[in-house]
Amino acid sequence: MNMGSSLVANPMRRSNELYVAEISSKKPLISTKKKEKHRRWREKISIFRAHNGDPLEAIRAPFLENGDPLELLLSPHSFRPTVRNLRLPRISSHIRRFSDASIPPPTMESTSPSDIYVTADARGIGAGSDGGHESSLAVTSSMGSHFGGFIVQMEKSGNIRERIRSLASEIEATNRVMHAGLLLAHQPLPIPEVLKKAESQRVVLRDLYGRLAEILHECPGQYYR
Amino acid sequence: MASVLRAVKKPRMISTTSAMKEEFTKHVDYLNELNDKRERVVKASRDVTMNSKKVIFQVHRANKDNKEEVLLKAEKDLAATTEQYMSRLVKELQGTDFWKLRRAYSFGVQEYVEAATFCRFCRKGSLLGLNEINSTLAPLSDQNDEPLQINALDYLLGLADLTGELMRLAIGRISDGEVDYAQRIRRFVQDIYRELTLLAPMMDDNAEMKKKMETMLQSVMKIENACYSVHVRGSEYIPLLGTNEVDYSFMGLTDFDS
Repeated sequence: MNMGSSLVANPMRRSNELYVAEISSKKPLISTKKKEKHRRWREKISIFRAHNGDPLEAIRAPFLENGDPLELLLSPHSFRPTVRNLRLPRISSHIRRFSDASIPPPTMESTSPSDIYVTADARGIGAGSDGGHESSLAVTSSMGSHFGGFIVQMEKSGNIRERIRSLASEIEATNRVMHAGLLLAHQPLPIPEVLKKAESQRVVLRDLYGRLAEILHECPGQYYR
Repeated sequence: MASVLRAVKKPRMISTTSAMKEEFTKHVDYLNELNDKRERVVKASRDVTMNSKKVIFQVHRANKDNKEEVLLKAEKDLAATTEQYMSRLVKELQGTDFWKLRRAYSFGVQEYVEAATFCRFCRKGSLLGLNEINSTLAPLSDQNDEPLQINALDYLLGLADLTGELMRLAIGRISDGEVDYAQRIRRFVQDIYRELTLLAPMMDDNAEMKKKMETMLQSVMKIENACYSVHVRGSEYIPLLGTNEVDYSFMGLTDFDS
């Protein structure tokens, strides 16, 4: 049979085949943006924690690591005004993110909540500030260790969630290929030929669901989470 | 010939329809059962919410004169809430579907966590941990069933609500003249806010937590403003700081009585 004539005779079939080929060539949609966002967030947490949870120290430290700031500014040789030298971790933007939405007009002069966290305890407000300061440090450190466990837990569940999401997108892509192949059933084609493409994807789908089951085995009892 | 054919003719059976109906009947029964269970869990959760709020209001009634007796009563009420209402919640869940029905009982559990942590802070000045709360709930479950354990998400949401109550407490303590206590509350709330700032983005479906973080920031700022005002303008608050004697020393004048 002359293939050229059959294609010419059935242009609809040709366009459907091209459509199926286009969909199957598309890569699964893995959320790299979300992975990147998560990685950056983890980096910031480690910087924040390295400076004992002090946001101002976390911001100052990389700047001071380049040397005395005044010297850097004055010396024409050692200080190159590039973006790299002046880059600071954006911890404050994350703290600001929660405060910007509904922050009332400032009642205190030139203070922000983050400043107060640093300065209030340093000033030792209230009578018995020394004893109060020590006990507050004890409470803070115990709270830090308590919440540290939660961070680990949330990170773990976040990783599992990312893996499930990427797998779900692959399953969705495979389903689209199967569905596109089954759409040929509306054409005057023999059913076995139409089912052939969908059948070939069934193996892929089974494999993907197997991988999903393995991930769900890692967190028993949390299927509905 | 026709009679022979009629004799051997088999009656038509719509077998596929009855098999499908049976299948769907099973689904209907399952869903009805699940919905009934959900209704019962919601009812139990509402009772937990109501009684936890009573505990919180009880704690707010404490002042420096009656602190011990009020806290004792609040702790008894909390224990009664645990034994009567949390145990009913545990019984309705029957050791299954904790995550499936989480939405049905989450608010009750959050309120319970808020009440329990509030009582602990007023008693000891420290944070009640999740493991401690879960250890009090473990005996409520049947030995054969999986025990109800409060998950980290509900615990953190309850903790976010706690800061609102602590704000009310701090303002109340300042008006009663207990400025040091208010300072302790301020530090505690600041610590919670700082820790939750790191955790909130990592939580599942953190829209609820984001809203609570905004409210929490407002509470933190109210406490800070109140403590700051007392510290800076403290001399004007001397009549509130525990003594009823009028003191003109801030004006540089001696007492008229001495």
